Amino acid sequence: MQMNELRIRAGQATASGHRVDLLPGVLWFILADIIVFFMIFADFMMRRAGQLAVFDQSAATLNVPLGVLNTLILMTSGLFVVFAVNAAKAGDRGTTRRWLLLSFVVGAGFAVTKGLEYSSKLGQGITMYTNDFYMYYFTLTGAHFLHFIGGMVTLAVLWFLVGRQQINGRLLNVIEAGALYWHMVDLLWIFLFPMLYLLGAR
Amino acid sequence: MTHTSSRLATMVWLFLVLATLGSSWLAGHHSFAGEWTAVFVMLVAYAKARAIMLYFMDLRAAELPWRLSFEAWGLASAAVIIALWLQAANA
Repeated sequence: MQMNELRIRAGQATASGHRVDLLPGVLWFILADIIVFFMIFADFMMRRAGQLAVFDQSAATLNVPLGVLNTLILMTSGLFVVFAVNAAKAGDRGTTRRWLLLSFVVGAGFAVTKGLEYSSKLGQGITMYTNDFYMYYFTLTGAHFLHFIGGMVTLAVLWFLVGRQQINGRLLNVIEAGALYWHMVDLLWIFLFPMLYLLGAR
Repeated sequence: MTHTSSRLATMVWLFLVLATLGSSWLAGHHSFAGEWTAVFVMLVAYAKARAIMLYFMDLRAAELPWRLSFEAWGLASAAVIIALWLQAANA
């Protein structure tokens, strides 16, 4: 398949010479990754249908306000990454770094909240072996958390890179690719949160 | 190239925040919309996911196959969750 066919306009605008455009590769990765999550969504919902009472009672023990807070954290951090990309497109390194840093700091709140949630559950003796609901809860949020860690590392690396060099077409492409990945972390949570926390409401 | 301006992104973010707070409130006040609450909550989630894909990820400016692939993922995710929820609720 021709790379050109895959290249999205954002990549084309920044393409110069024969350098490799990272965006198609990142989009392929994201698509493959979220399709795996889609299959687990379906698996969760089918398992739920067989154990409705267990799933709904267990879901009712989750902390909805913390889940809402985590949603707001990821969306806000995502907004700051959009600002960072726009600053990078304008060639403004200082502003790009500031938004990347803010995105990282706000995003770090997700780890704090998730840590509180996990420790609360584990403190009550609830683990992934408690029942099928918690197995999915810990597996899905745990897999998502690993993606989150990857995103935080990406933001830190971008912040470091922008501090070291001028923003050229190559670096902008790297920033856009990292930003796409960070938005995926947000995107997955947008489905995970209502499916795990809110569907059991009666 | 069209890309999401910071102003537009802020408007999208405002929608995301209001939709999150609104749908979470609704989920906690189930009597308000009855058995359709879960369906509504997932439809709001779909709208939020779509907003993130089209504006934050800039997929509205992407070539059609990319956009369609992601749109199909969002639609399929919401549809599967809603359909299996309804099936379980009416079983």
